[in-house]
Amino acid sequence: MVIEVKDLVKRYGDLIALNHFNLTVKEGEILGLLGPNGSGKTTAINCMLSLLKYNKGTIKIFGENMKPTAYDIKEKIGVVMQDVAVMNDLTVYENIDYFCGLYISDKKLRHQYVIEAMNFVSIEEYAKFTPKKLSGGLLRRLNIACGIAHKPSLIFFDEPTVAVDPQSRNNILEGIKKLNEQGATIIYTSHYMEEVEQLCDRIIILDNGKIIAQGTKDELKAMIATSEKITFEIFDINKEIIDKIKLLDNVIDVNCNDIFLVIRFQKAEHNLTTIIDFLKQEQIDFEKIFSEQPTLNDVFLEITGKELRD
Amino acid sequence: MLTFFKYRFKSLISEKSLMFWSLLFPIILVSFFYLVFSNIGKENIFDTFNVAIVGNKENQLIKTMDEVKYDDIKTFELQYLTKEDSLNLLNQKKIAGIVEIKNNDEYELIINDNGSKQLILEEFLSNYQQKELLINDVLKNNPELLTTNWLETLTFSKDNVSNKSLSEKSNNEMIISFYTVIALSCFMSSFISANGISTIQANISKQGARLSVSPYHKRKIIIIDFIASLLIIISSVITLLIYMNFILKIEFGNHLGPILIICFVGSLVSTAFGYFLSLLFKKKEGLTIAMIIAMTMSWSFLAGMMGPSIKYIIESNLPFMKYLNPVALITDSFYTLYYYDSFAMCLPYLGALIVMFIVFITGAIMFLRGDQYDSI
Ligand SMILES: Nc1ncnc2c1ncn2[C@@H]1O[C@H](COP(=O)(O)OP(=O)(O)OP(=O)(O)O)[C@@H](O)[C@H]1O
Ligand SMILES: [Mg+2]
Repeated sequence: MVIEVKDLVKRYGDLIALNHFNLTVKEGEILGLLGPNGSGKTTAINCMLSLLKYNKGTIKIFGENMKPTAYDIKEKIGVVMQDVAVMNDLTVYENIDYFCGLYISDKKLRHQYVIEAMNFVSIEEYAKFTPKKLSGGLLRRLNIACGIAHKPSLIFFDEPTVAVDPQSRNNILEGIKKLNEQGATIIYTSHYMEEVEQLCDRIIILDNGKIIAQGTKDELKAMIATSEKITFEIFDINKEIIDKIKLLDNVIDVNCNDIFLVIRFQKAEHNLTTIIDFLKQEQIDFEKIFSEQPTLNDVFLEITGKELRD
Repeated sequence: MLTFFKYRFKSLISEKSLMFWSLLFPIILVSFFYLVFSNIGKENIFDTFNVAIVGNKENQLIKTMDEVKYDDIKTFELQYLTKEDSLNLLNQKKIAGIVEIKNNDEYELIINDNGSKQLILEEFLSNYQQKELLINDVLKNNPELLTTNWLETLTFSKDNVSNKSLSEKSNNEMIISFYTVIALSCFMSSFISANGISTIQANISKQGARLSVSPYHKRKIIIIDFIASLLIIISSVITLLIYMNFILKIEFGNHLGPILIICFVGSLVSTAFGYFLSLLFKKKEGLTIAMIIAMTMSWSFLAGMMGPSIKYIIESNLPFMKYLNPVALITDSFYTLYYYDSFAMCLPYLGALIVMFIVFITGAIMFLRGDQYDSI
């Protein structure tokens, strides 16, 4: 095990930020920590890094107890913080060199690592810029480069793609996959379920400091009753029809927002034909139909009764 | 290690607003004082000025006043007026003062302002009075001493009466203000160390958190940062000294070694002071900045930057207060060195400064001791 967290409790005053949090991370995996704002993702990471005191629990990294003076453990860790943390008066190159220098003292090797890190997030052409002159997305990329330049074997990414354009976001996700292929174990937090679904081998869903579900994405989706979600674009629909639909076989619930009628079904053979036949019989016209597999949002919705996104 | 030092140094020195306060602000301040003082020093010292005389013209004092010259220019232009007229002129500032001769030949000086002219008048009169007593005394007891030769030494000139003491007095005021600015520059520079420690502390800044999760030993980080801050603070103080000495030509006496020691000790205290405040107020950086400005300015004021009278008042009423004011201690060290030519006399001040350093750095270390925080 690369990380073993047992029964972690962290309070900020009266607020319980982590409530009996458990976590294991195997070597070479990408673990996703998914949860809405304030669910405790950053707090969990900061506890694991020994930045925060916690009220209860044990944290082992690489098999040893993690503590502030565990320098040989820290050597192998890379952290990409949620907030951009760079020195304002150093250039892009110097920033990466400054932070990498904390791990790598050999100058030549470090130079090579800094160049590689800049290539990794594609900011070579900004090497001589100070952070003030970088756009928000470029800053984020610099922030990532500062965290991974020293080639750590365990990397924490705390929402690294916030405020990054889709193109760069994909580059970052690709990059993380590449780091993983090169052997790094990765913990990735996000409140974007698509990212987590796309990237992570295993996912932990966190809400109010509590783990509410964990497993691979297929395991998670299998946990819930919803197995199919069908959406119709309909221009006139009334409450009466909605109530009738609710009475159909296998329907879990029906939501209507604007022109979209969303129906969630339990696992069954002919859900689509059932509903289409019904609408025809009621003589209701519809434009488009989408049938979707449930997402992690549905998992979250079904377990907590609220949407993952605000 | 050197790389880390290099980057600490670079990022500390590149904070332009901080460098303004620690380097440019004192230079501007000292230049301003220089302009003000150089005007005061020159003010009409060699010119004639008007004095009203009320009462008996035939008085010996009036005759003497009429004869006082400096560089062949009369010092006092006497105007014989009524009391009423002269008071009017005094209010209009057309005369420097009024000398009223009473019936019994006693005299009284009436002045309104406190400028250099008034000072000259006062000095002249008190000098005259002393010599008058002396003459009377001699006349009474040893009339044989009263040779012409001896009498000559009793002539009054602005040269030997007023000018010297006037320039000495304003010179002292000036020197105290200048020395206070040096001390002020030391303490304004604590911005630099305050900023420095904030970017290495995990519970103050994200950059600090980055350092904390690295394998670089915390003690090493702090020591390197402290040295970098100290070096920048000393350099900015020395830059100010060089500016004062070579551009403004302000005297420091011949004590390069002791001057550097005083600057070093002052910078040590200020580095620790910045650390302490920053760690005390943590993320409330505005408070740290406000505190540094407020403390430094009030210390400087109490040390006599805006005029030494406050300093004299404190020294005569609450002498121990000086030992709680690092700016006063630095100012006085410089002053003692210049005036008494003695480094030994500075040692108590330096001792007090070192005690302050120990207090601040101990406070800072208490805050720095934890590696883990309740919240960040
Ligand atoms: N320093 C602090 N003092 C008090 N409460 C805090 C502190 N930091 C975080 N919290 C609270 O702890 C809870 C968890 O916060 P945390 O930052 O871990 O959430 P998160 O999952 O990282 O959220 P986000 O997606 O917004 O980053 C929140 O309710 C937050 O308000
Ligand atoms: Mg967070």
